[in-house]
Amino acid sequence: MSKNWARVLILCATALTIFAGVSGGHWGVILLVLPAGAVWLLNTLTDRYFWSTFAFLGQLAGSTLLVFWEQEWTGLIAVTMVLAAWDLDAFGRRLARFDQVEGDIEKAHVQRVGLIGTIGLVLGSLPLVWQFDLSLGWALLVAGILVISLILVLRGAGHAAG
Amino acid sequence: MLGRFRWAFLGTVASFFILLGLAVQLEGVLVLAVPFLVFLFSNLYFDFRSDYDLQSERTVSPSRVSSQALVTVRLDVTNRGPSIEQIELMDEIPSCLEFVEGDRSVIAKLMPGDSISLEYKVRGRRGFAQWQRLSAHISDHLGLQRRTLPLESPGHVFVLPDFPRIYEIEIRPRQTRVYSGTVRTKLGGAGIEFFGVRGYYPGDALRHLNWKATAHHDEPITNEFEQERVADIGIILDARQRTEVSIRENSLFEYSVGAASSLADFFIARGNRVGLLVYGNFIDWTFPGYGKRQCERLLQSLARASLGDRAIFENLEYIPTRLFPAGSQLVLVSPLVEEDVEILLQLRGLYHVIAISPSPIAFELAQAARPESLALAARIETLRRAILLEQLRQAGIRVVDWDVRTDLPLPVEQALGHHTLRHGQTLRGSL
Repeated sequence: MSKNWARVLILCATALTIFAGVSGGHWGVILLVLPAGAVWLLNTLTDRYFWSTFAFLGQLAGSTLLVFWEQEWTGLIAVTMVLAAWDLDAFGRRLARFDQVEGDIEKAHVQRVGLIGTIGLVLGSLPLVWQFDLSLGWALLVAGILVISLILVLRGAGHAAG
Repeated sequence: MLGRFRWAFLGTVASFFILLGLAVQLEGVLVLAVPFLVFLFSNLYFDFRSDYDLQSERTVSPSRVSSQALVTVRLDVTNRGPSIEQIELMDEIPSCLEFVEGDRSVIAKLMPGDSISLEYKVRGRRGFAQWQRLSAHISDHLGLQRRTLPLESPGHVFVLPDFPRIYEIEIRPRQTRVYSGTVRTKLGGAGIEFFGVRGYYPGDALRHLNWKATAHHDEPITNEFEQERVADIGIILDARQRTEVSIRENSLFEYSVGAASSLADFFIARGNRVGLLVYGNFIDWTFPGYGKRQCERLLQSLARASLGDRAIFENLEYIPTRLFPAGSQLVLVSPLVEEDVEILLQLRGLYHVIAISPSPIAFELAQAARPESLALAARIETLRRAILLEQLRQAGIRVVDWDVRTDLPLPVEQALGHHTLRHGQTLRGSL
């Protein structure tokens, strides 16, 4: 299940990055993201973790380029998907090493990654939609509150998930 | 990539985005670090505890098997402590065993009181396989924190050597023990084989009266039989690396071990007191004894036997002769090298010696892809070996030159059987 999710996310992230790049007139992004996506997709079928990590970095580079081309939203979504795909791909490989996978451990993992990806996306989008000037002291206070809330939310989610 | 490596990798990527964002002063690049930071911070809700309490129990059934027989290994791990988000168990299989089927690794979530089980089948070559502990890795879902808990889960299995049964070996040690057995003692008394006649003493069984001799001598003459007793037998297995020949996965030493097992089984089955010395790596001595339990001890010792290349044991001169009672029967199982002759001749002065020598030449020819290309070399080596073995025979050592392509009982019974012994004794005039 996690490998299938990883493949879907790789496909989506690759397609999204290429679409955003090409629609902005930046055809060169295809040269970076398409091979990385293809290599990564092929590697989800094998055990070559090394190349998957390179492909992951290639995808991140492509997503970063989108930010430079003023497509921050697309870049953030692509990065989140790439991160989730990387984790799910690695988890799938990890599970493949075991003869026995007990219970719904894979489902729980996918749910956890989904939750973390969503929180990451929400928190990442906040600065994009809501920008205001803060002094350093306020900024530190807000950062502290955010970190504590994040921990509390995740702890609550973890307990709820059992 | 798990644990600290994963932390470091994702932390580096997040830091890179932050530094890049600050350098180019683009908040969009800074924002890219957020999913990574959330991923890393999510780990904080998962707290490792110090009171994990896992108990494991291993069952190996059967714990004593013959070569290539299936052994079932079952592992039960119970969580007596707090809940564990993810536990990975992977059981290592000892080198002399081969995995056949089943589950030997598991990843699971363990709630307090929960158990997980692994069950798999293995089979093996001769040896002593031992499990000591099992590695349990505990981690969070995202693999950012990871801890290894060593779990004591001992277990063992003896894979005993395969051996053919021998039905006849005639031995005549100088000394026997007092208990009745099957070794003839050259002494008159109770027995089966006719030994001689003597005058009748009151109390002799009337059914043993020799009526013809009584009639001839005009006084009562009774038959006397040869006493049969048990003997002390020391089996010496040569485990020196220098005598070993191994081609691909086949080893001449395995034939020696099989022969020693056959001999142990044979002599114990006939009530003798048998000890075993494995000479090579160290002095591996199994104290002499009788019966099935001793047979089991000997076979277990042979299952454990391994080759050694200690310089001090390069020659047979350090065989500890004090371990064997004087006059007892020694059986050396060794491919033999020329330097061994002198030592064996010295041993012959103290003991009755039998040498069972698996032929390294026959072994190499059997394993060779094109044996015809080795014909000349084989002839030369065969002659040298024949000279070596003849030296031993002339000194009164009974030698079995075993072509390992044939089953052991045939050459052993031909060379050491009852008729061969009597024939040899007749030729030497000692019968």
